[in-house]
Amino acid sequence: MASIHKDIRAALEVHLSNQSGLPSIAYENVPFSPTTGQSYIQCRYIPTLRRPAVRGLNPQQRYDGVFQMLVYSPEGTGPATAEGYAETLLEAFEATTKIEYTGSETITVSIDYAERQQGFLDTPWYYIPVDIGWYTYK
Amino acid sequence: MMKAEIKINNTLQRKLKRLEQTVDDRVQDKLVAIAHTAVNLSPVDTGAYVSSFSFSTGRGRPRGKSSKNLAKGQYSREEGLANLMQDIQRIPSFKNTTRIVLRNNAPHARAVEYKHGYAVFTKIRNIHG
Repeated sequence: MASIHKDIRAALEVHLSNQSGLPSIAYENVPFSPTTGQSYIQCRYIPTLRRPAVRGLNPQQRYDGVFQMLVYSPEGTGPATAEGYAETLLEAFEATTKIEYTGSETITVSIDYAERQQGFLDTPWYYIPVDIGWYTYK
Repeated sequence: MMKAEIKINNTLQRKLKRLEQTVDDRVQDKLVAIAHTAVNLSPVDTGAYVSSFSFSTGRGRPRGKSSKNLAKGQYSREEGLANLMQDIQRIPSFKNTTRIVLRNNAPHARAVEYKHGYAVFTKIRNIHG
């Protein structure tokens, strides 16, 4: 399916944009200028595997990947802001969540895991990576 | 007095030994698969990053090369893979090892992962669990 990745990405990004209480989101290849002193979230769509789900001819395919979100908050203001947003993301994309989306056709993206990494400094920002493992069948 | 004699079945002993060997082989296979994934997913410019991977069981300093003052292509994927295979061979016994960690101690490893978006470790965790 040529448009499956477009649909999976859209499902994840729409689900992200529907969450309340989050700062601006920087989408891939969309112009975005961070404002110093204002938090934001950068998201990335990272497909990893496409494998037949069953044996035989014309098998259904299983698609796996990661939806990575980097939560940026201003340097020197403590970790609480970024951690708060990271928690919101973990709850929104909790494991076993099913995200339905209708693009070229209706797909269901299932969340396998949601985890965060430690925070890092990258002046003038402090950022926390949040990784969402997803899969779908088509 | 009651007693019961239990005969140890030599066949069972041999089967248990074979099972141990199978477990060792499976762990080794998994480490080799992870090594291939890590090296194949890595960007290569000077090769400092790809040749800075290491498997460790807790002791010793992980590999880490800076890319400063290195020529393009100075280190290759093949060298990165050879380093990891060497690390696997050096693990004396998987039976007595509870933890094996894949690391990359290049100073620019974090930039490769997040700033430049290669997400090598992110992908490895997703693919290999």
